[in-house]
Amino acid sequence: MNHLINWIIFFPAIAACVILIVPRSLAGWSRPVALLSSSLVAVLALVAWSRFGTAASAGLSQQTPWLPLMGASYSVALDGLNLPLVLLTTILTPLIILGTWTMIDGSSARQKTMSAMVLLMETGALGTFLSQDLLLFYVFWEIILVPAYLLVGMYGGEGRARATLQFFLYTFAGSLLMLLGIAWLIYQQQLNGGAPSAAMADLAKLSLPFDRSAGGGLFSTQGLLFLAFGAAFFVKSPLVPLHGWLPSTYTQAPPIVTIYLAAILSKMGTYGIMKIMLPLFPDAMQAFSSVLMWMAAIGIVYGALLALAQTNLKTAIAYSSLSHVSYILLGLFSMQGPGISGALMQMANHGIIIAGLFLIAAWLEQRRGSQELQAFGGWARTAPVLAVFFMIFSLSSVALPGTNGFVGEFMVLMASFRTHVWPTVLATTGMVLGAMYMLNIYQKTMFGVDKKRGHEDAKASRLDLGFSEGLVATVLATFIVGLGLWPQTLLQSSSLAVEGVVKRFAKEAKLEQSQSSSEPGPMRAAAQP
Amino acid sequence: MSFQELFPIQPLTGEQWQALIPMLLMAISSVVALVLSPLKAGRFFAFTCLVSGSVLSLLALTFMGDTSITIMGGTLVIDRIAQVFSFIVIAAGLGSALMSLGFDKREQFKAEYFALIGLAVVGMMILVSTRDLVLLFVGLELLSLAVYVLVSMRRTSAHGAEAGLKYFLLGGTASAILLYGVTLIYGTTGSVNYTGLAEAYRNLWQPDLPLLPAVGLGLITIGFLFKIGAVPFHMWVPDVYMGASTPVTGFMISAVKAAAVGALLRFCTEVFSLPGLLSDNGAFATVLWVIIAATLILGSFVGLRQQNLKRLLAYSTIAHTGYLLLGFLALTVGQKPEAAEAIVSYTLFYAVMNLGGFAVLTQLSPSDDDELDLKDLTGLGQRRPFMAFALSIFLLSMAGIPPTAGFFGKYYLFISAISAGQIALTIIAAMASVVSVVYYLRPLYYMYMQEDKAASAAAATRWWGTTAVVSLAVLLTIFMGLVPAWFSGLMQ
Repeated sequence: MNHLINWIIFFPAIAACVILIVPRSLAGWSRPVALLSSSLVAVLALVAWSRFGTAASAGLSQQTPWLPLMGASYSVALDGLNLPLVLLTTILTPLIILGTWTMIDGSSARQKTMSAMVLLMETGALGTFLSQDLLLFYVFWEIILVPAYLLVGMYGGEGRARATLQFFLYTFAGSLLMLLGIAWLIYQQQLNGGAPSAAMADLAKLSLPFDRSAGGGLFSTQGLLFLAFGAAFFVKSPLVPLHGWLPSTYTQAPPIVTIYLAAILSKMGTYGIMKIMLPLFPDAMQAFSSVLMWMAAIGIVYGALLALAQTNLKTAIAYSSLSHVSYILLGLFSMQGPGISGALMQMANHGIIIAGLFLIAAWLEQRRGSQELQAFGGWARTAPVLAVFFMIFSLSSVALPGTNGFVGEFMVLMASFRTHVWPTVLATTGMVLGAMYMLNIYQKTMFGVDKKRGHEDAKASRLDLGFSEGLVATVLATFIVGLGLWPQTLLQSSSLAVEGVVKRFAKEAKLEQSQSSSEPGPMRAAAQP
Repeated sequence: MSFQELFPIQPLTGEQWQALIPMLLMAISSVVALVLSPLKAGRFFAFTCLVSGSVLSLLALTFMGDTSITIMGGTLVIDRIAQVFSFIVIAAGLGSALMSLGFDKREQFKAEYFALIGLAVVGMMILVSTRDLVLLFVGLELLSLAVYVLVSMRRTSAHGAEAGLKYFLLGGTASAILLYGVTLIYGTTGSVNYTGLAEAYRNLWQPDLPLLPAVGLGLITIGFLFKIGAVPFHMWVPDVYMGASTPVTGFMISAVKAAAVGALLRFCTEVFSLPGLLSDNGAFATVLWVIIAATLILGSFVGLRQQNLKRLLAYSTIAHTGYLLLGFLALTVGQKPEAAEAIVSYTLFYAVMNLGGFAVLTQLSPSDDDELDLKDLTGLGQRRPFMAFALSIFLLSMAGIPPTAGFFGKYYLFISAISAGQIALTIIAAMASVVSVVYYLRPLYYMYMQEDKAASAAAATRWWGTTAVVSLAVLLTIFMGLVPAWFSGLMQ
C-alpha cells in the first residue's frame, strides 16, 4: 500500500466515473456502490491514521512533478493539520449517504447523478485537504464547484436556479482572486529563488514585504495577497459579511448537499486560512487580527440572532452553522496555539454536529413534508428515539460540557480572551443566544401539541427513526460523546503540526510570548473537561 | 533568357523539399479535390481527397522532428511555430470536414466545399510559416477568399448570405488596410522580409519612431486584430459566426483564429519584440491595453444577453481574444519571451474545445432549422446524455474551471501577464471570467435543471463522424487539463 494516500483521494472519483458510465438499467446499484466505496475510503483513512507518525508512514505522502514549467507538483501528504479533516470527510460521507438513503426518490437517474456527484465532491474535498502544493490545492478546490452547482440546481427546492448560480458566482469570484494570488506568489518565488515552485513549504519561506504605512498595510504586497486569498477562504467559510450565498443555498439545496456543504465544504475555507494564510502572510494576519476577530465575533452573534428569528427549520440551522463556523474563525484569528488547536478541533466537531442537525431537519421534513417550525410539535412522544438524538446534537451544539462542542469552543474562547477581550465578550453572548435558539427549536418541534396529530396517530410508529437512520445517528452521537470526553485522541496527532504553524508565525511576527503559550496549550485545554 | 536568369531562385535542397511536404500534400489534395468535384460522385471524391491529404500531412508533420529550415531566402520558414500551428489548422480542417459530411441533409454542401476547406488550410499554413509581408498577404487572401465562399455557401438561409456579404466587405477592407500598411513599411524601410524589417527598424529607432513606419506597423496590427476579432474590430464576429453553417463556424473559430494568432505571434517575436521598439508607456502599449480591456469587458457582458447559442459562443470568442491579447501584451510590451509558450498552449486548448463545442452544436442542430437557441437545450441531459456531458465539459473549459484544458490555458496567460507587471489588466481579466461564467453556465441550466415538457422530438442529425470529433475533443480537453505539461512543452 505505497499509494495509500492516492487511493484515499481518487477512489471516490473512480467509483463516481464507474457509476456515471454504467447504463441506466443498472442505476439502481449506484447508491449501494457509492455507500460501499465511500465506506472503503473511510477504512483506508483509518488505516492511514493508524500508521500516522509510525515507521510505516511511507504511503502517506506522495510527490511527483506535474507542471515543471510552473513549478507545480503533484504533492500530497497526510499531516497533523489535515488528519482530523480527512477523517471527518471520509467518515461522514458514508454516513450522509446512508442517512439520506430514503430521501432520494426512486428515480434511478436521480440516484445515479446524486451518488456520483457526492463522490466527486469527496475527492475534491480530500484533495484540497491533502495537497501540499498551492496549484494542486486550487485545482481540487475548484473541482468541488461543478458537482455542487449541478446537485443544487437539479434537485434543489423552488428557488434552486437562483440559489445555485449565486453560490457558484460567489465562490468562483473568490477563487479567481486566489488564483491571481497564487500566480503572483509563484512568480515571486521565481524572482527570488530561480527555480519556480508552488510548494506551500517553499512559498512560506518567502518574506513578503508588509508596510503599515500604505493604507494600514492593506495595499502592501502582503496585504493585497491577504485580500486575494481571503476572498476565497472567507467566502467559503463564510465570514460575515461575505455569507450572502449561504442562507439561500443551504435552504434550497437537497439535504445531502446541504449537509455536505455545511459539514465539509465550509471547512475547506477555514482549513485554507490555517494552512495557507497563517504561514504565508503572518504580518498581515497579525495586523488585521483584531478587525478579523471583531468580524468573527459579530458573525457569531449575527448568525445566532438570525437563527433565533427564523420560522423555517432548515434556515434556522443554516444560520446556526454560520454562527458556529465563526467560532472556528475566531480561534484562527486569535493567532494563539490553543486557539488554533481549538479551531481545528472545532472544525471536526462542527462537521459532526451540523451533519447531525441537518440530518434531523431532513428527517423531520421528510416525515412532515414541511420545513416550517410551526408544522411540528409534540414529536418527543411519537418519535422518542429521534427526540433523544436531536437532544444530543442540540446540547453539543450549545457546547454543553462533556460533548465535543464544549472542548473546541472553550479552547477558542480561552485563547481569544487572552489577546482580545471585547470581541470575546461579544462572542460569549453568542453562546447564550445559541442555547436560546437551539432550545427554542427543540421545544417547538419536540414538545407541545402536534397540530396534525389526528391524522398521524395511526402511523405513529413510522414517525420514528428506521434502522439505518438510527445507526447513522448513533455513530454521530458516539463521536460527539467520545470526542467530548477524550479530545486528546484527535488533538494529539495534530498538536505538533499546530505548533509548527504557530512557531513559524511567532518567529516572523517577533512574538516570543505566543510561542511559549502554545506548547502546553492543547494538552492543558484537553484536560479541562 | 532562361528561366533561371529571369528568376534567380536557388533550387531547393532535399531537406527543404522535405520540410515543404505537408504544405504540398495539402495543396495537391485540395487542387485534386477541386478538379474531381464536378464528377457525379464528386462529393465523395473531394471528401476522400481532403481527408487523405490532411491525414498524410499530419503524419508528415508528426515525423518531421524539431527543425528550423528556411526556404527561398527566408520567405518561408518551417520551424516549431509553423509546425505546431500547421498541425492545429490541419486537424481543425479535418474535423470540420468530417462534421460537414453528415451535416444537414437539406443543405447538402457541394463537393467544392471540401476543396475550399483544403485551400483555406493551405493559406493558413503559408500564413503561419512566412517571414515575408508579401507572402503573408498572399496566405491571408487565399485563406480569406476560401472562407468567404464557405460562409456564403449556406444557401438555405438568408443569414448565410448576409454573413457572407458582411464578412467579405469587412474582411476585404481589413485586407486592404493591411496591404496599405505593408506598402508604407516597404516604402520607408525598403524591405518586406522580417529580418530586414527588424534591422531597418532598429536603425530608424532614434529617440522615437518616425511617423510613416509607425503607421505602417499600426495598420498591419489592425489587419491582424480584425482577423482575431478584437474590439473595436469585432463587429463582424457575432453575425458571421451565427450566419455561417455550424461546421464552418467551428472551422473559423478554431482554425482561422489559430492561423491569425500564429502569424501575429511570428510577427511579434521577430519584429515587435525588438528591445526598445515598444516602451512600457508608449502610445502603442496604451492603445493595446485599452483594446484588451474593452475586448474582455465587451465579450463578457454582451454575451450575457444572448439567446442564440452560436451568438453566445461568438461573444465568448471575443472574450477569449482578450485573454490571448493579454499574452501578446506580455510578449511585446512586457518583453517576456516565455509568453509565446502561453499563447501557443492557449491556442491549442482553445481550438480543441471550440471545435468540440461546435461539433456538439452540429450534432444537435435540428435538420429543419439551423438556429439553435438556449431553450432548445431543455432536458438534453435526459435526451442525449453524452452530448450534454460533452457540451458541459467544453463550456466549463471555456469558463476556465479545472481540471479542463481551458483552466491551464488561462492560467498560463495570467501568469505571463503578471510577470510582465500587468496586474490591473489581469484583475480585469479575472473579473471578466466571473461575469462570463454566468453565460457559460446557462446552457448547463437548460440541459440539466429544466424538465423537458414539450419533449421536443426534433429529428436532430446523428452522424458518427461528428460524434467521433466530439469524443476526441472531450478526451483531449480533460487529458490536457490533467497533464498540461505534455502539451505546453510544444515549443521546446
